[in-house]
Amino acid sequence: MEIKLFDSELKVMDVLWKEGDMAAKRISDILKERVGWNMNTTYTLIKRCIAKGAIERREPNFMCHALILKEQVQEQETTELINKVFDGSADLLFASLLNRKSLSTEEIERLKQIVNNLK
Amino acid sequence: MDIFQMSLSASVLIVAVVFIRALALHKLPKKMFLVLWGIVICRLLIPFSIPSRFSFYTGIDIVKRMFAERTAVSSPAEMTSIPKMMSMPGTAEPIGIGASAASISPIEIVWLVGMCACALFFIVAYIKCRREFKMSLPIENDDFITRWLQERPMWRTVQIRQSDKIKAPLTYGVSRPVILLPKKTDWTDEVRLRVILTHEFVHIRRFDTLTKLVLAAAVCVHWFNPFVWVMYVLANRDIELSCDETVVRTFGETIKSAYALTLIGLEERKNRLTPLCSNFSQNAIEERIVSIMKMKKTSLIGMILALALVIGLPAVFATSANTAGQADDQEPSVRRLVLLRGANIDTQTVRAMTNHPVMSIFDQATGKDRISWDEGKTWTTVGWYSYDEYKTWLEQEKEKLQAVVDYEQSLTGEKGRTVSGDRFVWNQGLMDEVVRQEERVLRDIKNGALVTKSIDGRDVDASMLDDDDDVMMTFAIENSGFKRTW
Repeated sequence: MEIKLFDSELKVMDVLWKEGDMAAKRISDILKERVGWNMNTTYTLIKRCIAKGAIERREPNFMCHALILKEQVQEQETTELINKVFDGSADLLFASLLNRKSLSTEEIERLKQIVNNLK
Repeated sequence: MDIFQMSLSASVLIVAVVFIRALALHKLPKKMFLVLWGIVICRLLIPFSIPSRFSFYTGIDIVKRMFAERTAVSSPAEMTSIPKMMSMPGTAEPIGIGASAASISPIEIVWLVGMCACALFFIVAYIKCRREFKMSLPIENDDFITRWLQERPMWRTVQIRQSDKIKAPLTYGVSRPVILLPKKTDWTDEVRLRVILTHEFVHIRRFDTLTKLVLAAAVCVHWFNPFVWVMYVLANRDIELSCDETVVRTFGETIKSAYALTLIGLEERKNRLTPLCSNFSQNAIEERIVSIMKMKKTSLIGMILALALVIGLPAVFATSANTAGQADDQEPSVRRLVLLRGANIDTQTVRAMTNHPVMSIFDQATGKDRISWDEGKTWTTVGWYSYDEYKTWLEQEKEKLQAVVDYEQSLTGEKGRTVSGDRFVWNQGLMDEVVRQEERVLRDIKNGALVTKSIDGRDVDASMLDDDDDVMMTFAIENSGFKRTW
């Protein structure tokens, strides 16, 4: 199932992915400090994530549980990127990544490693 | 002055501004248009007017008077004479032009409902947008943005955030403004960023968010007036144009084309997503681009013209005609009077007469009206009581009446008993009733009613019991919004 999440919703998911299940109140506290959202804003976003099926609400205390994995979202976003900009071919994306000037030597080494492992 | 009159007079001003805008938009400084719209807003929302002899409406009055005088002579007589009937002061009851003067008319209900609906629409849209904007994210690790903000300290804390839900940069919030940039902004293009941020910063400095709210409020109050909607659209455009002007002045003329291209780039993105409204906003963006490219140093003539317009236009259109007892104005004006009440004229007759307003030519030089009961065939000159005159008279009248009452009581020996027979006898109750009525007349005068003091040079006896030919009558100027206080 494909779930399209906006940046702000991903920010909420990010908290759950990094720190596991937690109460909505705590998510709100964390995000207030991190991005400056008030409680209303965060709760609205949590409710939207619940409606989209990305979060499950568990009682008591409005405990939030992520229903989708970070990897799922990553894969979904990558597929969209490949289809949209790289004509559906993953190797073009890969070539584009390699051509980036900002890539450090370690990063290049790691990428080489991945390719070698695939062979 | 009621809301419809305010709307009407503001419409004339709006038409004038739209006309000037169409003629000289690119020739005059854009700030001038904001000042003119500001005057329109004042006219729309503040219920008072400044009388001026140079007013457009004085001109209208002159034309109207010429027209009325010409037709008056040829029109046939409709009313013949003033019917008169005796009535005891004790039985006289208050007479109103409309019975529902105090309650709300159906038109007012429609207006209120429309205003509420309009306000609701704006408020819901505002809250919805604000909720989305609040979900924006901070911009992390961008040195340029941080530096840029530090260079511009303000007493209001300004935040710059990003959102993936908007396509073009915007600013929201009045006390704690936030500049919102689309997620897809090219964060490396510093020239473009600087231009965009400066534009938004000018909006913040000028409280343009607040201005837009006031404009929306004007539209809500005057929702029935299409001219006000035109003003709303054009004033919002002029806010942008004026902001563009300031940005170009800040960076110098060399930035013009780069700035215009930035705008086109942003607009392209916007239009692809909302093709339905592209037509309208296409027009607006075209106007903006042309305005930026045509921008040059305002010439001296342009400045003088702008100044003259800002001073002259409101003086002509935003003031009201100089009427009602302004002795310095020599121009007589035509008006129609409605009979409110008359001593010794009964309610029914007054009601019938109210349907035929009396034609009057007001001579401001003498403060007297020439009135005609028969549509211009015969004229009588009528002088009016001033508030102070009537008040002085009333004090004297009270003393006189009291003396009569005291005398009657000393004769009968009993207080408050009416002596039967042919002779009319004063007692305390009757006197109180008469005085109460005369105090009402005084209140009427205070509220703008006209009370006869003299007819054709003969003084009218203002007491309620006079059965002479010249009875005291109270008039209101037709459509003057005169409201009775009881």
